[in-house]
Amino acid sequence: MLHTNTPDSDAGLNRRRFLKQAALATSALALPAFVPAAALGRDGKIAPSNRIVMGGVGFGGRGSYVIGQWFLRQPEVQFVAACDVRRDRRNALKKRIDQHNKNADCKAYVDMDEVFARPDIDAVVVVTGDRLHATAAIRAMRAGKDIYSEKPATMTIAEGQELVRTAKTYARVYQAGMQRLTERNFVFCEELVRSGRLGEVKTVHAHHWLPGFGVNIRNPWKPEEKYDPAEIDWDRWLGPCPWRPYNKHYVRGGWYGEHDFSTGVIGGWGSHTFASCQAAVDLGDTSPVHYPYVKSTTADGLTMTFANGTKMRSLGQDTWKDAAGKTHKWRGSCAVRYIGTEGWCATGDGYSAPDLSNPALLNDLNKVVQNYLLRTGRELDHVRNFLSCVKSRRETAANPTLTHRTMSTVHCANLAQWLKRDLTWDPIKEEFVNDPEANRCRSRAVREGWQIV
Amino acid sequence: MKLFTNTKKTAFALTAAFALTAAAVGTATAAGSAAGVTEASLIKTLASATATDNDKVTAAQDLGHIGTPAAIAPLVALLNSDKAHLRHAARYALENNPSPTIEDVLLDAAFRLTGPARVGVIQSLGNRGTDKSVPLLAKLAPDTADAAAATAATTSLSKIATPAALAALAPGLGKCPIAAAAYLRAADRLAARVSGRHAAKYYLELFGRKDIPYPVKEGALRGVILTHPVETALPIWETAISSTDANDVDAALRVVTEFPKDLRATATKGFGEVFLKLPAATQIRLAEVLAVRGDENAEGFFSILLNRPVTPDNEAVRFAAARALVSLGKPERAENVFNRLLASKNAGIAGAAREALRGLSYQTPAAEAAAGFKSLFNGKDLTEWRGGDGWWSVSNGILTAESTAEKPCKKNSHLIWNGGEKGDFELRAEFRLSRSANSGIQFRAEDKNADTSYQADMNGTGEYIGFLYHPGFHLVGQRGARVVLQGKNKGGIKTTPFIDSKLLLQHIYKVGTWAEYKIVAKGNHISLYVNGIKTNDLVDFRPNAPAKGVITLQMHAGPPMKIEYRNLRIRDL
Repeated sequence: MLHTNTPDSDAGLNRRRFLKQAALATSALALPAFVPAAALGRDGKIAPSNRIVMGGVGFGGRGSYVIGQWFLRQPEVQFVAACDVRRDRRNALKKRIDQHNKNADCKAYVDMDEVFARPDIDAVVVVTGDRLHATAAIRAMRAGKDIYSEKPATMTIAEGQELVRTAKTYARVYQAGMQRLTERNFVFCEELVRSGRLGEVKTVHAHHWLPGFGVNIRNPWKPEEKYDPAEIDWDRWLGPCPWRPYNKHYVRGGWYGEHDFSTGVIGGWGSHTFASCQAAVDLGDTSPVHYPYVKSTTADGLTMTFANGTKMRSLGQDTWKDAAGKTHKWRGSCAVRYIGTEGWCATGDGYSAPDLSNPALLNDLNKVVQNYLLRTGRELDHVRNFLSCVKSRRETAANPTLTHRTMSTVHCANLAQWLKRDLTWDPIKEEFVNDPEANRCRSRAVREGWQIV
Repeated sequence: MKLFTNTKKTAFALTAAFALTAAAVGTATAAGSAAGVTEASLIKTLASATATDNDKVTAAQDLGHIGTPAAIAPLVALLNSDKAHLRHAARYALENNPSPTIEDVLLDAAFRLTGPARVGVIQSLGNRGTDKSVPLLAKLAPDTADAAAATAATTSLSKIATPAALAALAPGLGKCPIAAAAYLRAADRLAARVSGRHAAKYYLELFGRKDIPYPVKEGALRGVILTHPVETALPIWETAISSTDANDVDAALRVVTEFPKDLRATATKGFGEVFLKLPAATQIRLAEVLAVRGDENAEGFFSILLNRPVTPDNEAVRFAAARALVSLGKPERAENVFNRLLASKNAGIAGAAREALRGLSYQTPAAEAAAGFKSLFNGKDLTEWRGGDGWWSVSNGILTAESTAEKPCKKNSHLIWNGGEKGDFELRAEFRLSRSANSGIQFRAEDKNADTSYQADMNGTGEYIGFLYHPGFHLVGQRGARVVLQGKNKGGIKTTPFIDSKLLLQHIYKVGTWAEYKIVAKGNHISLYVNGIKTNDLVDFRPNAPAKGVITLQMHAGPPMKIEYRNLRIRDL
């Protein structure tokens, strides 16, 4: 239960420092990060000094994809640690990694701090349930690791503030899993806004899915069930969250509908779509100042207002007519629509190309996206963006500031629904205006033994 | 079941009555039912012998949001529980209760309790405590008998982060595994809460130690640099950036983005010397963070750097310096560097230079409009054009000329822009050609005979693309060269290549794809660009050189071909 940071007491350099020194000495890193790897003339083999050694934490449904496929197929990545509080999952992750590495060297762990304490690990990817994302990220960064964390990245405003400060203090690279920030169609829409091709954009629409349980998700405990402690470490599963008796419902995904473990539907979807929207209108370092209470179980239609007057609307579906009178709708999840004085654009998952008020703008899609990539040094792959930044130490697309601020938007929106009243937020002081009760909800006490320095 | 209900904005003066919900007894209510709870009923639940643990935990959570001093005693009673989850629930409520007596209550509990119960309370003291808690926490922090309490106490001292708390943490440095991180984060909190100056000595103390984990050392390095005056900070920074320890270098690079705005790092004498001794990889990364920071003085620094001799080894650094100049708003200087790097033997650098030039020349439609560009082609019909001998039409917004085997073009033909004569201008146009096509954009030409004056030449295979053609001098404006034109006599054409012509073609054109020409005509100086990269620069000293004329699109006599133009725009210079 105690989580300590073991000191770096190695007599010599740890492997990581040696790795990076070797890299400094070669010219392999001498090219600007945005030069495509193909131009470097690699022969397909990665020298050990160029590898990024990683640990994986959390191997459920999402982890199977993010770690098991996306990260594992990156050529320079080498996984050496598999961690999950469930035995079946950590064994499955170890097996998957061993299969890929063609050896049995990967070690299995229950305690993520042991992974973070390994001197040979450079970076970790965390795909636990939402309740542990920020806890894991902060612990990993404090141990000197870079981190890719799934979203929603924080459970409270206070967690987000701590995330930002920790990344700064320890100069860590952090990427949260809002992968649409590096997807072509979404990037193009962002650039349409920035270039002024849509005129002035003062309204943005963000999609959220509408499940049965709505935004209010504090439910009675499920009946206590027996479990085998060798199969699951329930105490560690809970982490800093309030204890409740074990019931398999929680570990089979039911946590998503529980206030103690999840930020609900607004968090699950807003973490993506608010990030896309706020990035597009360059409001990624702030949150709206006004959040209305919406008399709907799912907060459909929630319209938030930024200090500069821009409005962000959270919707289950968006329907609109174009200039010719034709009706359009969102036709994919995590959709967004950016509405300007001279046009609009919309995109979402599964779109082959964005919908545009002026389809001729699509002619420029490649040019516009190329220009964006050149300017930012990013690439159209969220994991590659992370790994490039691990090497170059640049800021990622879903960096701590954007992540914390867009999650603050989620938390403020949630609180307005939970408290059943409109809320006003001061994004400079990061506190609610004239609302001590709401301010008391910015943080949650952690369980004994889970407090981080 | 509703989570929080309160119709009043101030939590303490709780006079409104709330209806009891089924929530308090652990069954779900229908979503949407208006409901509320009174503090009194919540307190009653806490004390009830028949309420379930679930009820009590829920009640405590609610009290965390609306509890007043009245809730304190009942919550403290829960701190004694032998059930950890009830103790946590009590702390959940107490930590965010704004009453000033909370610290005393927690301190009292910390003295009374032992074991895990005490650990939780110690944690909460960190989130609520002041200097008052420090003596107790100082006693517990080094406690080897109760490691959990010691860790919690160390963490809490870090959160309290007063000078007294920091003093209490100091003895643990080098002994307790988390003391160094606690000290560092305490210094951070002190700096944020009071001022950097107050935290400076703590960072310095940490920085001087050898027995701390490397992440803490890097955090201390950052702290020292940000909280000390320039005379002290800069030498420390220079040592770190020059270190062979990659972590020091990383921290030094990252902290550049946090330098105070008025820290003129690059203006100091030592900086240049330090920079030049760094490995290339670090130079590149440092160039980038200086650009990100927007350091005005860095511009002078990069210019000096670029004035140094070019060697194959420093190409990447020159690229980074040029790219930084672009970020600092000085693209002209960067353009020259990128142009030279097009010829790099390293394909990665040459490609990056090409993309950089392409990016530099790119302007959004809004920016072009603001710069005064006007369209020459409405995308719909030929009303803005005349002549063309019937070859031209418009389809899908594209201005097209097409000849076939049955209907070949046997005589050069020009489509003339109706917008009149232009003298000094910048014109941009996209073009696409079939393999056998031959076309060109004629300018400063005679209305009656358009096969005169200059032409930005083009053909499908690319041979002529980027050349400035003149009927009297043919391909006088060589692609990749500066040309001075005096007349037709010997010595009348002076051509100075700045890049290999074939190499440049590879950079600027792919057969069958859309490309963009840019023509800049000012006085006797003509420049051509294709896809953002300069292909020719010509100065015409002939006394009868044309100063103005019509603009046309040429259809050249020849085999069947297809010529397409779109997005034509022009602005006066």
